Amino acid sequence: MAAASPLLEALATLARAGVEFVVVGVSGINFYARDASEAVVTADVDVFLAPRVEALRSALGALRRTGFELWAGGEPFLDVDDTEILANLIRSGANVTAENEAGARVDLMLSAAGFGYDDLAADAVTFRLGDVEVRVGRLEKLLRSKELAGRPKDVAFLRLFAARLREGAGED
Amino acid sequence: MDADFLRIARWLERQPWNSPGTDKAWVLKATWTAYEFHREVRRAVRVGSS
Repeated sequence: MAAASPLLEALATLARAGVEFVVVGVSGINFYARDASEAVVTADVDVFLAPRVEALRSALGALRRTGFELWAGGEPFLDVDDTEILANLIRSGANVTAENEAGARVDLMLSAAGFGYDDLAADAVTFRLGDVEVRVGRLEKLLRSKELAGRPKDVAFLRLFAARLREGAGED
Repeated sequence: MDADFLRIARWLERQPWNSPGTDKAWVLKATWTAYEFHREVRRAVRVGSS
């Protein structure tokens, strides 16, 4: 029986709203898994938005209309229609987080370690989610971005992922 | 990233299940199901047998 996924619905919502974005992070890396055993369990999806006010405004509006609450800097974010505030967010490269009651979280990113939006979008891979298309950063770049971020959890993830990748490649 | 890791990552990108246009809805469904399972396990209360 196919399970519903609020993260699937969130990405589809963004795609249908015409938001320009690239899926990155662990959620993006998961797109390249061969099967469920290779995917990392996560309740988050990381979305790198095109650095334009309209992209951010559309994304925030679409997610809010589908029941997500918005947070920035640990505070509720309510100024979804304030062009100046949205422009400041883009300039600062800050993130906005969207969360819903089911615990699903969409991290709307305006910056990523090592790559600008155009770098990732230039050769992003287009996959389908049912009747919508989403663009996902190249696996090599997503992994490199994690390496450059260098947080302890990124280091741990890369170590585990490298082990899984080598094991999977060796089976063929 | 070491060269070997990079080589394998590029190999994975070229695999048939990663061709552009492939439907990846199953990834989000599977990871959400797994997340919910782990969440329920953490919530589970052990009931002693009589």
